[in-house]
Amino acid sequence: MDYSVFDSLLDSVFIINKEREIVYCNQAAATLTGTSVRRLTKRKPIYNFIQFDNETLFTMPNGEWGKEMSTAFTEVDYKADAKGGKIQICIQPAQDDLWTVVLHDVTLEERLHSKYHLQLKAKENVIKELELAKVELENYSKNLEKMVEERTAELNKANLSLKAIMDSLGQGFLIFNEQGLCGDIYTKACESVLEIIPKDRNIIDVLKIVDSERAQYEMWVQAIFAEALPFDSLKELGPDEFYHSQGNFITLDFYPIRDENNKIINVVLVATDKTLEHEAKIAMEKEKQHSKMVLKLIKNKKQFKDFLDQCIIRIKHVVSETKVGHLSFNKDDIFRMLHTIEGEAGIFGAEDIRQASRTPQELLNKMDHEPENAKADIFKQFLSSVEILQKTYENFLTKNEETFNTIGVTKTEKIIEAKYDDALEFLTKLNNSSISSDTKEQFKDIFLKESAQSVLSIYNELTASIAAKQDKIITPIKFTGDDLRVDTSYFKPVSSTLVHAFRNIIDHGIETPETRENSNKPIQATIEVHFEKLDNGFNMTISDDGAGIDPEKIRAKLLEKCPELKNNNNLNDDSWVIQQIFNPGFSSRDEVSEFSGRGVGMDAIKTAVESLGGTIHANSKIGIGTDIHIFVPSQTDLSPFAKSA
Amino acid sequence: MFPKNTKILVVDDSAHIRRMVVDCLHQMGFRSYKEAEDANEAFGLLKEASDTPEPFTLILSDLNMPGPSGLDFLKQVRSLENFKHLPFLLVTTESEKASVIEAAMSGVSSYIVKPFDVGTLSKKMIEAWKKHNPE
Repeated sequence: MDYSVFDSLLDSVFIINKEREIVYCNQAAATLTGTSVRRLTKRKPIYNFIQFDNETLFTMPNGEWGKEMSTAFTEVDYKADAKGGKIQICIQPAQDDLWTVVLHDVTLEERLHSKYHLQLKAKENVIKELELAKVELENYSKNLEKMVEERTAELNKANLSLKAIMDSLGQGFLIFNEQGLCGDIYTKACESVLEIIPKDRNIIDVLKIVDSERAQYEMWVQAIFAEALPFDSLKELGPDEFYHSQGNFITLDFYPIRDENNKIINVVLVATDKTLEHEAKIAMEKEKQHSKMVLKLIKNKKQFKDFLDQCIIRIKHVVSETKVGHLSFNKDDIFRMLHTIEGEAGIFGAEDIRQASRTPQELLNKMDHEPENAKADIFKQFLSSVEILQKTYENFLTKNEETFNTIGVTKTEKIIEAKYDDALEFLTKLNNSSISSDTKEQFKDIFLKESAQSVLSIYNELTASIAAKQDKIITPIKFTGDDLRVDTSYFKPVSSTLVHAFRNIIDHGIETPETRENSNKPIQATIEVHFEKLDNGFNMTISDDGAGIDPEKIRAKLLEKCPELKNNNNLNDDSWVIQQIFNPGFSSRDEVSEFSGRGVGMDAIKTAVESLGGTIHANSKIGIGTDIHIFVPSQTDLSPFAKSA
Repeated sequence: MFPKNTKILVVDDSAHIRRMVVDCLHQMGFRSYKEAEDANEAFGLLKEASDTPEPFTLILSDLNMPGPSGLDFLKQVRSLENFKHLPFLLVTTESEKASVIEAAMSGVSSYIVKPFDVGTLSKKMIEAWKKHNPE
C-alpha cells in the first residue's frame, strides 16, 4: 500500500504491525518524537519512541492484539523525546494486520489558546486601567482649581510666617538694585533698626551716609554691580555700621542675588541691632581691665599701695593749692601732679582714675588759649573736674574694697607704714646703742630698703605697651651696675616721676624699625638703667640708643616760644640747649601723641630730684642716643616724709 | 597656579615693608622679583622689562607713597594697552577704603590690607592672577 498519502498531513501518522513495530511514519510523527523518519522505520516498537499513559490502547477488550474497528479520538498524556503533553490518539485497523495510529497534538492548540487568552486578558486590564485613569483624570480636573486655591493659601501662610519670623528677628532686610534704589520687599524691623521705610529710596539715603562719604559709597554700589572685584572683597569696602539716633550699635551685612547667568541683579542688606552684644563686649573689656589691675596689684602689691597713697596725697595737693583762685595758682605744678596721676594710674590699670585725671588736664590746657574773662569759667569747670577725680578715687577704693581686702591692700590699712615707723623707731634705738654700724646698715637694708631695680622694673610693662602701640620694638629694660638698694619712701617722689622719662624715650627717642634699619641699627631698641653707689648717694643713668636730641630743633622751639632768648649767649651752647627739656612747658614735638609731648613730664623729674637735693643732666648725640644722668644724695633724715611731702 | 616665568614688581616707599613682602614671596617660592621705592621708578622698570624676554607678570604696589600714589600708578599702568590685563595687587590700610573703591573701578585686580601674613598674601595674589587668567 502506498502510505505517501499521509506524508503531507500535519497530524502525526504511524503504521504499525502486530508487534507494534513501526512500518511507516510521516514527517509530523518524526517531529513529534524528535527523531528522523529513517530511524523510526527500522522495525522498532512504537513504545521505544513515544509512551502513552494508557497501556491498553493497543489491545482489544478481550486481551487480543490489534483492533478491528476504528477507535474514536481519545485524549491521553504522552511522553516523547524528553517532552510531553496532551494528544488525541486514534488507532484503526488497516489491511495485512497493520494499524494506523493518528496523533493529533492538542498541546499546541491549548498553548496558543491560553497565550491569546492571556494577551486578551492583559489588554482587558490595560483598558480597565485606562478607564480608571480617565475617571481619576476627570476627578483631578475637577479638583485642580480647588487644589490651586489650597496651595496658594498654604504658600501665603508660609510667606506670612516667614515675614513674621524675619520681622521678629529684629533685623532689617531690604533689597536694592543697580541704581541703589530699594525695592518694596523689606522687613518691618527696618523702621526701628534703620529708622526709615526704605521703599523707593536710595540706599545711600537709607543708610544716612554723610555728604563727605557719599561719592565714595555711590562708587561702591557701582563697583558691586559692575563686579569690579569679587563680591566678598568689595563687601569689606562698604559701609559696615549704621549711626542710629539712639546710639544703638547697628551692623550692616550684604548678600548678592544673581540671575541665571550668575550676574548680580540685586543686593540684600541685613541690618542687625547688636547693641546688647556690643555692651556685653564693653563690659567684658572692663572686666578684663579689672583683672589686669588685680594681676598688677598682686605682682606689685607694695607699689600699688604706694600708688593709692600717693594718688590721694596728690589730689589733695591739687585741691589745696588751687584754693588761691585761678589768677595766682601754680599751673605748671598742678598740671604735673595730674599728669603723674594719669601716668601711674595707667601703669596700675586703674582706668577710671586715669580717665578722670584727663579732664582737669584738658581744662588747664584750654585755659591757656581762652581770653581772660573766660578763664574764670573754665577754672570753675576745672575745680569740679578735680572733685570728680577725687570722687572717682574714692569710688575706686569702694568698688575694689573686697579685692583690696583679699589681697591685703586697704585704704584703712596702715600696716606697711606702721611697720616702717616701728622700724624707724627701732633704728633710732639702735643708733643710740653700742651696736656696730655694719649691723645698723644691715637693719636698714632689710627693713627699710628695696632693690632699686625692682622699684623700676614696673616700668617694663609700660614701655612694652607704649612701644607696641607705636609699632616700635624694644628689649626689656636692661639693669646694669651696682646692686643698689634704696629707701622706697625716700626715693618714691623720683621713681614715680620716671614714668615721664620712659614715656618720652619711647615717644621721641626710639625710632621706627624701618628708620633704625636704614641707619644700620638693630631693629630692637635698648633702654638701659645703670646704678652706681657713691659715698654720698648714688648715680642713676637712663640711656637709650634712639635718635638722640637735635639741639637745632630745640633751639628753634625755644625761640618760637620765647623770642627774647635770641640775645642769650647760652643759646649757642648745645649742652645748655639740651638741658631745656627739663623746663616746664617745653615740647620737642608738634603733634601731641597719646602718651607724651604735652610739654610736661621731664620737668617733673627735675623737680623731684632737686627736692631731694639731687641733680639731673642730659647728654645726647644725634643718631646715637640720649643719657639722662641723675644724682640722688644720701638720706640725711630718715623720716620718710621729710623730703617727699 | 603661577607659571614658571612669573616675575613680580614690588613697589613700596618703605624698605621695611618691601623686605617683609619679599620675605613672603621667598617663602612662597618666588625667586624672580624687583623692588622699586616709588611709582616713577616702578613705571620705568615695568616699561623697560616689557620689551625683554622677561617682562613683569604681576605688580604688588603700596597705595600710600610720596609722589604719585599707588592709585595714580595703577591708572598709568592701565592706560597702556599691553598692561590692561597685568595682575595688579594693591597694598592698603584699613583707613584707605575710598581709594580702594576708586582702584576697583580703575581696574585693580585685588587688594590686601596691612598688616598681612604669607597666607593672606598668597590668597590675594591668586585672586589677582585669576581675574585675568580664568581657568
